[in-house]
Amino acid sequence: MAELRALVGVKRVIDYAVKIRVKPDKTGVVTDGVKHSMNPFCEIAVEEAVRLKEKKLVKEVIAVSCGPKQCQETLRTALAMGADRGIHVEVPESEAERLGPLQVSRVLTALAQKEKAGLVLLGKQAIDDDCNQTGQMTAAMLDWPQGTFASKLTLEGDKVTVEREIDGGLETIRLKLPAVVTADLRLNEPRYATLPNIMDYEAARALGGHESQPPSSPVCGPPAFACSSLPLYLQLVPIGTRTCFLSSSNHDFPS
Amino acid sequence: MAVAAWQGCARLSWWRVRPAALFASRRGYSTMPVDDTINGLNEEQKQMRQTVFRFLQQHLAPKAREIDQTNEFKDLREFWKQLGHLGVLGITVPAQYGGSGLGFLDHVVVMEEISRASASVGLSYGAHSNLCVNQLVRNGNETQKEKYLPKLISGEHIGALAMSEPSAGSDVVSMKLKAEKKGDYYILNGTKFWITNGPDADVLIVYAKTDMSAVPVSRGITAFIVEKGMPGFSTSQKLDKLGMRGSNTCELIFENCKVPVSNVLGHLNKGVYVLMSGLDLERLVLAGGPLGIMQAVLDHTIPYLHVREAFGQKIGHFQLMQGKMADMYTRLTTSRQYVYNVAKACDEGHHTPKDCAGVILYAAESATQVALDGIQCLGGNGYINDFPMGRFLRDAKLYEIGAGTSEIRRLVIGRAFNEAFK
Repeated sequence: MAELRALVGVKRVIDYAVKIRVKPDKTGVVTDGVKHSMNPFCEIAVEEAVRLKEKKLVKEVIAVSCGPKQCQETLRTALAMGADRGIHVEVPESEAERLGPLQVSRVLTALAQKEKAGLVLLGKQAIDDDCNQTGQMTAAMLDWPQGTFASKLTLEGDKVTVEREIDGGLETIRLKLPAVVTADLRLNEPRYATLPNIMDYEAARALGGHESQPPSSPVCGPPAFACSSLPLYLQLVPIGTRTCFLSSSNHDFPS
Repeated sequence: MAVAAWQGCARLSWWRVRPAALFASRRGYSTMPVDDTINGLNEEQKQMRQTVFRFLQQHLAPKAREIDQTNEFKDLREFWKQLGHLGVLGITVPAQYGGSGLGFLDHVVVMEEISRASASVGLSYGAHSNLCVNQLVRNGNETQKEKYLPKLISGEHIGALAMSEPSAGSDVVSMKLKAEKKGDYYILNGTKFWITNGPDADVLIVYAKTDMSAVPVSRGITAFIVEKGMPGFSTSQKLDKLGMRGSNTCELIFENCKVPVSNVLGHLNKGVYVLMSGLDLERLVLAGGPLGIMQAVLDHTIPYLHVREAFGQKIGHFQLMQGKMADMYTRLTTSRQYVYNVAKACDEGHHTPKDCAGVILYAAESATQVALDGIQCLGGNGYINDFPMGRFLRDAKLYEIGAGTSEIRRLVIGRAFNEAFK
């Protein structure tokens, strides 16, 4: 469908090749100064979205990341791989540790509706928490069908056929768009952002300068689901497009 | 019985070495992070390093050992096309010819990352992307650029440069390869030696003497573009080198080789200018090679020092080992700052032979020392080929010899000072 917009969630996690060390006070793992990169399953999701765009089945690929400002690096990688726009939902460092699948899925729900996305592509799980919940929760909140653990994705008209890797083997289901799909390992092999792509994007960034746009109204308020006790006040900061780049603006969080 | 006990002990101490060796060769080792903020790289260069690093650690680093052992890179052609796709083969070529249009600092960073994965492939890469491709860009006319650059940049063709001869290395200007004009062709007769990528190259830039009686002697040299299939051009078997094994090096043989007049690179008898100015940039970009080797040494040594135990603690906590880590790290970082800064200056058009020679002189000698320290840190394990430390030393040594020996580099710098006081 030439009108289809794909929303792809990307998470910034500790790089898979890093040797993880537990903090001396045993409250978590050391993240300071440790190499981070995009979650491998999220890379597969971005790659799938970009391939759909190249096949002209998807009009626009929008990458989203929730977290502190370093998430912009992850979004940059997504843009260099071929995403059209990146949205950084900025969460201050102090709160970022409490950010979990429930909060992220609420953000994705709001964004999917705001951006009128027809397809939400996520990685099946993140390699730091291995929750495997965000995709499923997002689908439930949006009340959209879901195809999780996808190892093959085919878009035909307003339906998407998903071949899922499940415990018993392979299952093929057909979903009516709009839908949520989460990517498993064998869906595709992600491309490396080529130098021309990286430079293209960064040069356009330098040329485009800063185009200021007032941040959209904060997504906040009482949780729709009583189980979360984390009040979430977020400013949506559109981070960039392939033709112009927006810097994240300074903003005050409502206390 | 005492003898038996001693023999048992000897066998035991051998055993203590082996498990560590197995451990190292099987696990995917995690590399040491590079602080690019201290290195002065901007955002795009940091991202570029990340991308290239990831690709190479996945596709090249696992093959490095085999390449060194067999003195052959089996998937060379396929890998070259992958590099072409990434955009690193034509890194300094303007976009209009399909290149990436980047600068020397970017080239140095990519050279460093490739050498970090496999120094021999890094050397081949440097010879292709700088010695051949960059020379074409700087000195070729439009026809030549349009004819040769596209395939060199995409990775379908491999490039090389030939100036040294069996009896003319440092004294390159005394080369004997003769080029005589006959109608629309130049007939080349003679040999070249020590040519990186020689066995595999499709396009070679060859320096030959067109005027044997020129005074001074350097005024008689012309640069030519030679293609693999040209009649009279052949290569002999590749050299069995101490290090940089896998970066194929051989002798080129010209027996009445016919090269069309249109393949003269630059101007007739002005080859020495092409050669000398090319040498400066060659030294700058190749200086990335020793940087990569030093980083690879650190990648392997620092984690090992924090795993290996002796006398009840990790050996990385002993002062002499801490001293070694400090020495290796500061040698690498100072070399890096020098190379990166000179590269930045060259990107801005400020280009001095003195510093181009200085960077590779310093980086190469530092790399040999760091590689030696690396072997020492690993002790017995550093001495066996299950670990790559030996390969790092053998590879590092080349950079004190190729691209102008350390002695020549010293001469260049000294003479530059002499010039200032003439």
